[in-house]
Amino acid sequence: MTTATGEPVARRMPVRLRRMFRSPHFVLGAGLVLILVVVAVFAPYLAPHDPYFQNYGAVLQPVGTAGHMLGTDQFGRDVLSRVIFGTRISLTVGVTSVALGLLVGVLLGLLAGYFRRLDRPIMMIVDVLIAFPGILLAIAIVAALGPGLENVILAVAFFSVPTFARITRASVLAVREEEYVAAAVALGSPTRRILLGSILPNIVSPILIYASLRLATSILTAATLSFLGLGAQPPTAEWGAMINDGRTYLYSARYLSIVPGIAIFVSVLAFNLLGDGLRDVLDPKTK
Amino acid sequence: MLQYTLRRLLEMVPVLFGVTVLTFLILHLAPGDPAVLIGGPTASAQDIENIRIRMGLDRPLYEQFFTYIAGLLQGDLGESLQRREAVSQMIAVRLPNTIFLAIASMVVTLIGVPLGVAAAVRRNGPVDLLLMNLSLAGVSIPNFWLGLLLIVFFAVDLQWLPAAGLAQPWWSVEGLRSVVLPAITLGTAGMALVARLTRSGMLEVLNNDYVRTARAKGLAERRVVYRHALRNTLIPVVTVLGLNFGALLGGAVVTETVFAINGIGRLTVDSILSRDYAVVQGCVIFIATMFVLVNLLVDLVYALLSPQLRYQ
Repeated sequence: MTTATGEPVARRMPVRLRRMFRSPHFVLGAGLVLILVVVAVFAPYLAPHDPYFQNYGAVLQPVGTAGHMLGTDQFGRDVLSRVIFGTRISLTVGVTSVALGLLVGVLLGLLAGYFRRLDRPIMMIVDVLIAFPGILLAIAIVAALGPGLENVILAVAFFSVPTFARITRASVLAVREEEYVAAAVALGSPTRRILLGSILPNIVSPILIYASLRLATSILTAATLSFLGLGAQPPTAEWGAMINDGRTYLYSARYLSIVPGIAIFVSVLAFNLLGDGLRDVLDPKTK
Repeated sequence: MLQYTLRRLLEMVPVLFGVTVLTFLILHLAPGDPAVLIGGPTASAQDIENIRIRMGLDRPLYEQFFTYIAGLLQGDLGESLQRREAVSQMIAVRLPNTIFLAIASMVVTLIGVPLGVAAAVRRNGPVDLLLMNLSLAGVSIPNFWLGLLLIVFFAVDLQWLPAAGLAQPWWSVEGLRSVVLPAITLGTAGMALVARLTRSGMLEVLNNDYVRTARAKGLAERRVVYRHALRNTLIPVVTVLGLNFGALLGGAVVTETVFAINGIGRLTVDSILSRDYAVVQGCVIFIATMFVLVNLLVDLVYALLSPQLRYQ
């Protein structure tokens, strides 16, 4: 396999890896993402309490209380444990929705970029999807499907499809006239092999960069939907829902809103840093 | 230019039609019978049937759609099932608040331009590093959480600014004070984005020949930066500002909820929670249409600013 410039990929990888570890954004982002993954995977071992255990003898305990480092909520549930378990939910929702959006979006982008006849109809659909500003499309889908985490995943995935399709199409258009694609066509390779074997590996960089940035957006969108009461429902330990619950106690127990917000902020920042770092390394022109 | 404008206007039609079809389908093909949802658990079969007839749900889907489109073309967005009020009227009453919030947030977003310039002229210096890291934080911060933090510190602790609602009239001191926190909440992400974009645009043009010529002529650095370099950076920035205006309309859904502002965004969320689908549909179509129109306007301004970019 070769890159768009014709250099063998294998020879360039170590250079790229070295460059990755020299990018402070990448190192910080990757480090934070690694921590988040570890917290999500080992949540049951890391959480000091059961995140759903209600203790009416210890409600609204402030931050720093013995046994409850980040305090307790109005039902006496341990906030730290809920934030730890929330990592699981946010990462699962983020990764699943981005994976779904990527799969459909990249497929549409490949088809639109490669087959001139499909370009217009597919891009029409994409234009319509992009005409919904911000999270409005996700909101409309959740409004129809009803609240709940599964529906949030679908809504957020749907919300990602048009941008993945646009990025993929633009990248396909940029490489489809390259010699190695022409060579594959001349050799009589089947279309599927040209698309997946010759074109896709050479447009992975922009898709990868965007996927990382999209993970940040998806985590944020899912938390926003839950905050609005359209996503995870009580008693789920989801960060956006926790902030919404905590709003009632904004005057007396503000940590209930502040702590899960920090968790969302750090996760979104982690994936944004990672995406930025990947862009610095894989696509230095746009730095 | 007239031909270009007409062409762009015509291109808008299928997009708006698609938005309407999609919104209509999403809300009509969803699982669950809206009549049952509206009737509630105590409704009898007859009640549900009556609701269905009132909503037109007993008719085939295509008929419902064409009736809706026919109404839409006359500015009729349907009727709220809960409040028995015209959706267009409900939107019209709340539109001024949403527009006021969007304009105020746009002002916050514009602060990104001088920040981006400041970062670019001090490339890789401490100011640049600080501003770019802050901008990364700005795009990562959940705006609903930022809103709550601002309420906690500026409204509850310091009591400098009000925590909820928009005071009337807007141009009064109270009106302006009431919009500060929501505007910062809604405008921060855009400001961060614009700062980054202005910075990278400036870095590209600062090394150009005409900038060097301007410097060689002995012009003051300030004049070189603002009159010569920034002007050429502004075109992509204007595009992003236009796109961002749409994002502000979408983001208003969240900000209006946090600050209890009686606008279209809050109306959308409230209607979803009360399952008033006619209102949700009207609001979604209205906001998307505004977004498409603003984008068209931006494209036209873009074409005016740079004739060589006009459509062939």
